[in-house]
Amino acid sequence: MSATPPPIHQLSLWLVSSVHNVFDTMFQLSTEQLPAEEMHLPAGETVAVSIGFVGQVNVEVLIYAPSQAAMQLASIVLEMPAAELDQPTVGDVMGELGNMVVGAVKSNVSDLGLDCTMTIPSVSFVSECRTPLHTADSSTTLGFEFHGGKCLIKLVLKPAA
Amino acid sequence: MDRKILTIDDSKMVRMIVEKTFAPYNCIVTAASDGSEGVEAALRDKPDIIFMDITMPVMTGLEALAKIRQTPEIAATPVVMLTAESDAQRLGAADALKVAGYISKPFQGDQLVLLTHKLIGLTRKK
Repeated sequence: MSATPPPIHQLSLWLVSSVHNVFDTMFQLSTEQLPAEEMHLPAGETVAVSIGFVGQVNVEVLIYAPSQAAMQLASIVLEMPAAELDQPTVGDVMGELGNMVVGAVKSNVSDLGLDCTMTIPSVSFVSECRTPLHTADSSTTLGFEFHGGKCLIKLVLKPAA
Repeated sequence: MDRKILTIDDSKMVRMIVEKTFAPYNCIVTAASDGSEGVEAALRDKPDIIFMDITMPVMTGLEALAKIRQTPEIAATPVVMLTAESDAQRLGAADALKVAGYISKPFQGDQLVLLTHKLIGLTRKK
């Protein structure tokens, strides 16, 4: 018999812990979690990352960060001036950030005995962030602030296929 | 003597970090962006060590590792899994294919250097 899928609250706790760890280790930045409903991303171009895992538990994670903040992160981790970074490189950094953040959550789920497979990150640049900021049984949105930058992360627990 | 290091990862960011990390050492770092390209690069370059991601398009890291172990010219190459997936199931599958070590993402360059030095030895450039 399979283990019970973890509730959204537990997934959310793992996600928060993973975000802090990834920002600290890869970018040497501390992050503060803020109520998503009180956080507004600045208007303008936003990087949107979609990544998750599928199997006995299906999760999609959407990460939204202003392009400027994403460029700042890419500049730190690649040790390159922001002016030398092109859009695909910034997108790659954000996709890998998503991979690392979600990988830890997926590993916790798998360690409960639930078989899941990570998806490949999909990255797009959108004119602005339009994500409904609500928490429900199947989704929650979290806000983070880091060194003047901000990002929103929406976690969606999807029904098993 | 220069050590040959192959990084196989679909993320340009990770490939660049590996290249920058080993720049101060007597190493030649080559890169591939998926498992299939990685096996080809391993056959061509005969690296002393391989750092490999698990989740990649075209051919996953575990599939590429199995292919490497089945290919006599490169079967004995130490392969270190550099992956965001650190659950017992994935690591067990890699163990069965005689993986030389694991480094969990997120990671720091020092971890790569320490493990590489332990497995194949490294010297700093003068």
